[in-house]
Amino acid sequence: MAEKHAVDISGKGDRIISGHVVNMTISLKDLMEQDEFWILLFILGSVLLNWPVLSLATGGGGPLGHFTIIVYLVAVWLMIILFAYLFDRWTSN
Amino acid sequence: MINPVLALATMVLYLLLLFGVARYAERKRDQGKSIVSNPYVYALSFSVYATAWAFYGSVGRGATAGLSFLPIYLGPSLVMLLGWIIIRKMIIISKEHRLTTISDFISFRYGRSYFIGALVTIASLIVITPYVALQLIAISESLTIISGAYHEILGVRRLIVTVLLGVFAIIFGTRHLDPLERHEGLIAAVAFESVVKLVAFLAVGLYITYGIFGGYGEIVREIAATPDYTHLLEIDYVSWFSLILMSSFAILFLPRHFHVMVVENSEENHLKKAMWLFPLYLLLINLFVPAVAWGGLLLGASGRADMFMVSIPISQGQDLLALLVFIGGTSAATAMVIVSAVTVGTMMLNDLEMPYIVRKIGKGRDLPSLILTLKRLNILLVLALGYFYSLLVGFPALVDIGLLSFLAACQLAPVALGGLYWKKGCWHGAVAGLVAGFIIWGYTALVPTLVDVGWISKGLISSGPFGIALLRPTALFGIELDMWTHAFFLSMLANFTFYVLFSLIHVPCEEEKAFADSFVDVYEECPRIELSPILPFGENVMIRVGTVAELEGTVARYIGDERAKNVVDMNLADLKTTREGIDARQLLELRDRLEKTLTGSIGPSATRMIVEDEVAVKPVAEVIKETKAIYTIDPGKTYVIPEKAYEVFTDQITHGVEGLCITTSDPDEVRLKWHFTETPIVRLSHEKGHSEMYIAPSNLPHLFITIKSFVESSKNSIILLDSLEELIEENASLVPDSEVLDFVHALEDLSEKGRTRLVLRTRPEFVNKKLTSDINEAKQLIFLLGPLSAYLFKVFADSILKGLDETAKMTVLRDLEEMMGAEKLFSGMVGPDEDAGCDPEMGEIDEESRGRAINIDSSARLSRGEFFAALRRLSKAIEEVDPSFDLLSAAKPLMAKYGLNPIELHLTSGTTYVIEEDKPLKSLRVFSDLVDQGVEGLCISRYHPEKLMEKYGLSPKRVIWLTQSAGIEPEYRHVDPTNFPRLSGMISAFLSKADEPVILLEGLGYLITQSNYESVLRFVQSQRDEVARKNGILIIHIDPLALDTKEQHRLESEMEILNVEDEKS
Repeated sequence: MAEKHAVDISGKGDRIISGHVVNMTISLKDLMEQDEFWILLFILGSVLLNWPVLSLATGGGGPLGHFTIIVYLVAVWLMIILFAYLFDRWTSN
Repeated sequence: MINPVLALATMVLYLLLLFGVARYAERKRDQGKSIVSNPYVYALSFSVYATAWAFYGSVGRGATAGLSFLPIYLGPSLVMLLGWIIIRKMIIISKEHRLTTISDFISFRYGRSYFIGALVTIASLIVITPYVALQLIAISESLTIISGAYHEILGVRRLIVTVLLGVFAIIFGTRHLDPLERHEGLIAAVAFESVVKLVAFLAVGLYITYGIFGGYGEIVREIAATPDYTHLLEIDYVSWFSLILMSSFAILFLPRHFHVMVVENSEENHLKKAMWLFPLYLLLINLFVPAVAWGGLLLGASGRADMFMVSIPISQGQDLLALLVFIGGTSAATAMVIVSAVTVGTMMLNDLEMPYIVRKIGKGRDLPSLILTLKRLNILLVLALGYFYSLLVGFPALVDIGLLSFLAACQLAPVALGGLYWKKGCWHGAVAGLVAGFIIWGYTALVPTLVDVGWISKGLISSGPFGIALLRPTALFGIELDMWTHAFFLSMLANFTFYVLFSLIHVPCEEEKAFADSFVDVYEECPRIELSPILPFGENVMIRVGTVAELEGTVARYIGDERAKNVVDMNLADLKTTREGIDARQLLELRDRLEKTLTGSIGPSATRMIVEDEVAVKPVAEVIKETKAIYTIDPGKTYVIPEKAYEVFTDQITHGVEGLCITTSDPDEVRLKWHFTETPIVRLSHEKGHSEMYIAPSNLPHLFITIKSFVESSKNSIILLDSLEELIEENASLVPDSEVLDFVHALEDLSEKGRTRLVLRTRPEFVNKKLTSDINEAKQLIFLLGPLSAYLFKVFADSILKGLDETAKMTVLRDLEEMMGAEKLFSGMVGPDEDAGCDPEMGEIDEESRGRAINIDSSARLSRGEFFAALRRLSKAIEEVDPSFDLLSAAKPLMAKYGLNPIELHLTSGTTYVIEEDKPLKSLRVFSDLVDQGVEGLCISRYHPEKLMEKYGLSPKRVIWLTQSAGIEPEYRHVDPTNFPRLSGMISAFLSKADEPVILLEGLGYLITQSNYESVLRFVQSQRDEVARKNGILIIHIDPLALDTKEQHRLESEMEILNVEDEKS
């Protein structure tokens, strides 16, 4: 019987994928309870908010022109807020 | 324009509104319905990060440097992702140890260091002053813009604001001395202000973006199309990166932020809310910064860009909006000022003033009042300094102050983060890192800002000191970067490098290691520690224990009697015990809790000094090693250890035994040599010392009480007295003999009954028996040590002679001295005409007492046998003048006092005695009593050694079992009753090693039945001679019914009959 690992982004637990028995699922909620996940997010956020990735949004060459950089920064910012919000919501019962 | 009086009145009313909000919150808290202990208020309080510098300065920076204001807010948002890892750890540690400021946090981690705490506090004070000035100037400037220029003397408006903020901070920030009683009023006001400033900012942002312009896109397009402003959309990535890092560290370690994030936290889970609410807040409050800044540029708004927030609405006739913005700016400024003043005021109290107060201010002062007053004065001082600084410098000079403050907070990052995650971080590394970091910070960041102000020559920046270009403050070693990146990079590099390097070179002391473990391993669960006699307190734990009253008294000195009592009662209830019923483990726990209460009130440095200086000598266990003890010494016994006493003592205290060291040596030298740090040392000296206990050697009662209180407050202790010889010799001419004897006897008794281990270090020559170089168990010290036996004889003699009239006494003394002189009765005893070896003072005393008391040289030594022989001689001399004299009755009280068996009065060395009784009960009792009192004994018995051990406490080593059984365990010495040669050999071997020993032979009837009477008689005769030669005592038990009259008579003719009283008599 084939094994398949599935990551459940709904945070609801294991899912059965048709034709396969899922032996192990790691939900986002489980990930959030690990310190390493937050360290990874921090590093990723730092990368997204610094050169060279940041340079992709500057210069006015993006789809929104010079407004791209502002939209980009706000979007990354909101993603940071979203992850923290999900952590609060899923772990504060 | 708004009427200046109206504007000022609005501001004052707003500040009064803050008072109302704070008061309301405090009242709700008192009713048990706290409005502050919820995650939303907690998260909003984080916005104290956004000060007037953020309100006005961000706009100014946006207008001059474009998006470069954003990293200041992106950094904290990123750090919130690590909030559950880092901030939560800081909260748990701070709550555990009652740490109330960032300086306490860091100084505690590195051994409760006064120096580190002071360094961080002074740096914070230096940095906070211009920052407070900036807030006051921002309020003043915005007021000028909305109401027009107004001539004022000495910045009176600023003064009004300063006074009002000072009053607010004092009322709501210094109610009690325990800052961990959270300031709900203060936090409620900060949360309220954060809503006000957000609303104000969003209002003006929306107005400018959509009211004046056609939206954000239009503003950005116009800016991009204007050549003079296109640079505003560019990013200096190096500066961007360093500002993100700088702000990340600042959010964690700025004093005001540490306070709201860590100290004011009421529940860990609230942090989860703050992890997303705070970044959302920062996003919202910065959402319209580019719009306001660039909109102002496009509108050609007059005045400084920093003031676009108020100048644009005013210029558009929106006075109410301008007033709202002004209030928003005031909110931003006042929150920062209040929290910073309270925080820095507390730091100054804990880390600068309290250590001085603890050392210098004597008892009797009302310390709680003094401490509270000092805290309030500190707050006023911080505000006053900010106010006067604002009068001296102008607004332009203060724009960079925010970054200067951030960079200073960054210097705490290596030591703080290292303290949280790296056990090897030590005091030396922390000091080296902080000093290096602050020096570089001062040179590369502070100095250039002072040049801008005009306080330092510009030549220093352009050419470097003494014209050395490589040492230019803004381009040190030729590194050309923007000023803040340059300062950040170099200061953090120096800080981090020195911290790590010095930490690796130096090994932390044991106390630091314990603190490092408590910080780094804070999440690890501690195993339940159970009290046990050998390792009572688990591993790596240092303990101090006191009585409840003493602990309460110490705490009351600093927080007041009533509060101390409440804290003690609350903790006793929590521990489920009472003041009277508390046991050692609970006392330990109470002590730890009270130390934390003190730490929360006055800081760790001062608490450490109090605990070291004010807690009297108490049992202490050194940090326990994970090895087995080398030496085994039993509680309830006394040991004489001539060479290895300190080794044995140190071995015991590092394996869970609480120790007390009494010495005439310098305590510091002792600690240094033997590496024990926590064990109390009592120095026997007439000097008064500092932080060690000094007792005069002649003050034997005080010394005894000190030792007694130590023994009684410990369940597993050891006492090292390395100067008993000196104590006795020094007191020979100062203190009555009886007092010295009483002290030694009581000490030995205490050791036995208190189950402590008494270790005496003394020269072998001072001990009246042969010693091994190792551990020697000792009994009856009065016969063992130096002239104590001679003192004992003098005490007995004086007591006995007291009953005689003068004439009889003189006769007795004369006769006794003649006998002593003739017979040289005692070794070292001096007759009436010999002064040789006498101390001159002793000679004078003897001269005085001659004719009234026995003349005994202080260097005289009496063995046990000699002592009793001397008493018998004395008795004989007295009987000649008083035939009715009974030695036993006369000596009985003192015999009982010093634990001597009256039977010894009748036992002469070299004599064989017989005790006649059907069962050997009295015989064994007498024998075991003598052995208990230190006489070396050998019991030859028909009884199994285990039975003798059980009933009489006789060690199997002292027993030879008469039996013909086979397969006996090797630990029991036994002999065949027919094997007289072997038995003789065993007795002979014993006699040759022992001093004045006693041998009990019981089982004579068994010997006779196994062999024959004649053999036994011959055996007894040979042993009698052997004992006589070797100065021993032989006691033989006979059952008179087991022998016929002739046999009994023949045996008795070889011995003396010993009548033993029944136990009851």
